[in-house]
Amino acid sequence: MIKFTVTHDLAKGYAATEALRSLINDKKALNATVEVAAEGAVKEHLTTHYAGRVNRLGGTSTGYWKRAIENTTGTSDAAGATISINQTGIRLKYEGGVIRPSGKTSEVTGKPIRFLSIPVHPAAHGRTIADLGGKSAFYVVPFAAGGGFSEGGTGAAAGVFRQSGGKRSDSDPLYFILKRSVTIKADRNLLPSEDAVGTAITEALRIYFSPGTP
Amino acid sequence: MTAAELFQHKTPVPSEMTSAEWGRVRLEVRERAYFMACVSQAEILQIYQDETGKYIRGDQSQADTRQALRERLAATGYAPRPGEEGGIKDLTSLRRMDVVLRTNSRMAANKAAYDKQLLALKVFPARRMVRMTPKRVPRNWRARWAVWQGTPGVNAGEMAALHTSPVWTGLSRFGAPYAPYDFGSGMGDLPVRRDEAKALGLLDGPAPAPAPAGGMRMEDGKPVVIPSFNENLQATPVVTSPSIQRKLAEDLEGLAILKPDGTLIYTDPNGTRPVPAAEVAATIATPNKADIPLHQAEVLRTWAEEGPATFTRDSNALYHFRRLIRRVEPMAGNEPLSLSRAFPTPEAREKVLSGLQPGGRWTPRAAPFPFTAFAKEDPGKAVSGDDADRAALQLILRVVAHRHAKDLTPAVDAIADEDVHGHHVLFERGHTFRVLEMSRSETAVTVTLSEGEEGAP
Repeated sequence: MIKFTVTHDLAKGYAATEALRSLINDKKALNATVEVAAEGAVKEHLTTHYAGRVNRLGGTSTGYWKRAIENTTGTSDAAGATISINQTGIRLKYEGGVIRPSGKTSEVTGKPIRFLSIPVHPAAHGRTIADLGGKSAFYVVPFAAGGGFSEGGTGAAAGVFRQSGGKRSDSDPLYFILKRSVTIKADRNLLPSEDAVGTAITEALRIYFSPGTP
Repeated sequence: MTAAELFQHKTPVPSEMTSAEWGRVRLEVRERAYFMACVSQAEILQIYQDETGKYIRGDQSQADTRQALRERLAATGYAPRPGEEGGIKDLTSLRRMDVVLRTNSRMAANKAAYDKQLLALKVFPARRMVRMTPKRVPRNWRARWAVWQGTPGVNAGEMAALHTSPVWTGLSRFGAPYAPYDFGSGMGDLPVRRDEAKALGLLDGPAPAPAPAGGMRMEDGKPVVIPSFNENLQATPVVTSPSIQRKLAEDLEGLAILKPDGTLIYTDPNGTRPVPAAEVAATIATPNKADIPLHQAEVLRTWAEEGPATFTRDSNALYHFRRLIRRVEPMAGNEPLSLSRAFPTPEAREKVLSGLQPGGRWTPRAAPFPFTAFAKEDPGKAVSGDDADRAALQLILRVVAHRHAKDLTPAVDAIADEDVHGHHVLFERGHTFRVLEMSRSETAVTVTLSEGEEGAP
């Protein structure tokens, strides 16, 4: 989950007339307007720049960005609006960082998890080994010094192959590579600028307080 | 309400119904129930609801949720039927788990967003359908929109429509006015601001329905209370175990009742489901385990103890009071009612009497409190003014026939500690009475009224 806050000044530029006071006092409508404006700005940004992304492996979409967009919600008070994107991993994408194994017990090996399984096959995209039939459907080939897997780039410790027949074969596809860590680059463009959200809120408030608006 | 809160308030309903059968159940029921097609085991349903809730709250990833489901289901001894392993009927299959997780999280998130925009229609009166997930073989949504071209408030070419337009439910396979619009659909929607909606021609033609702020909408030029979401909500869960039935009834005390035939009726303490006057207090004031605030009970208590002044301080109070009045079933039409008023001078009383001439009609002006309150007449007691010293300045209004009187007396007796006015039979503003006769005595002027056929607002 990620949260960020933008500020706005309700009183700025508006005379404190009775009509205005009643609009300001209708907290439900006012807050909903600010929240929909802020949410809309973030949702529009994600829809425009991220929703169209296709998986680089060619796998079926997991709907990650759709869920991020739909789970964008705002809360507001007199001081500003806070927008939250309630989606696992979104903060890491925004701030960047290094992912390391959790140390939890592996469902596959029954031992503490020491490696991350990174999908390199379209069918593995968005799936875990457990999702795809568990340990019995796969075998691990350690990455010998000097060797490697072109699909995994650098730093792979081993490859996880899907066993297609009763015994191992050269044609078994590589589904995952095992790594000790993965570095995610920060993507500061993931969120619209505070200015852009602030403008969306200001524009919504302009309509909200406009005398001619029904 | 957030998506997580909406989901948390769902009631698990074990049932053997298929997804197609559930699809025929009213949307209001589906929105309030947590169910899975062909899952009648309460324990399994509970596991799914727990883990799906964590996923919707963002407490665990989809992969972790699937693993938790597999582990917890295995602990119950669950195993798919032979021949169903790995398929949609296998509750541990990837396909089934993903369908449940995605459908529930999308429904909850989009329902929350839909409800919020209802409060912001002044600025965001419309929505635009957009693609949020690329698909290899996308459905032809433009063709689906095309059949709505020409409908007021719809711009089919831009796939945009007013937020309250029937186009949204018309497009949805699930009959809901929000995404998801079809199985596995990658389409969602974004709010459209008023200026853009105007440019798209969505505000042309007949005026759009006013925002339901305050719980009212216009029908034939008259304001009516919007029925509660749950007004007709009931379900018949397939719960055969008496112990689970008892538990269900206990858990839902104050919110719903389980009838002997197994029908679960959502009574809703803050809703508009009609209720006889004698049952109002039990319906609106019984505490519930979900800690849902009892708004109608609170506003009734405040009104009884402090009078109508409460409604000028709190606009939400009037909203809840209107809904309460709407749900109370009218009392017997021949039970006489009366109301006495004192005036500071004879002239002031005569001014009011000039509008109460026999043969004429009288419509109470009641603002800002939009109700006129009468008392039930005590048959053993003569009707008289309530201030003997000012008897000459009294006006007594008697209603001898009525159709829309709402009696709050039993509810006030049960809920309020004090009672400031003693007039608990209410008519909503807009009701018209025929003036039958007027009689003058030394003590007061009495005007007899009847609520005629045209009395409805």
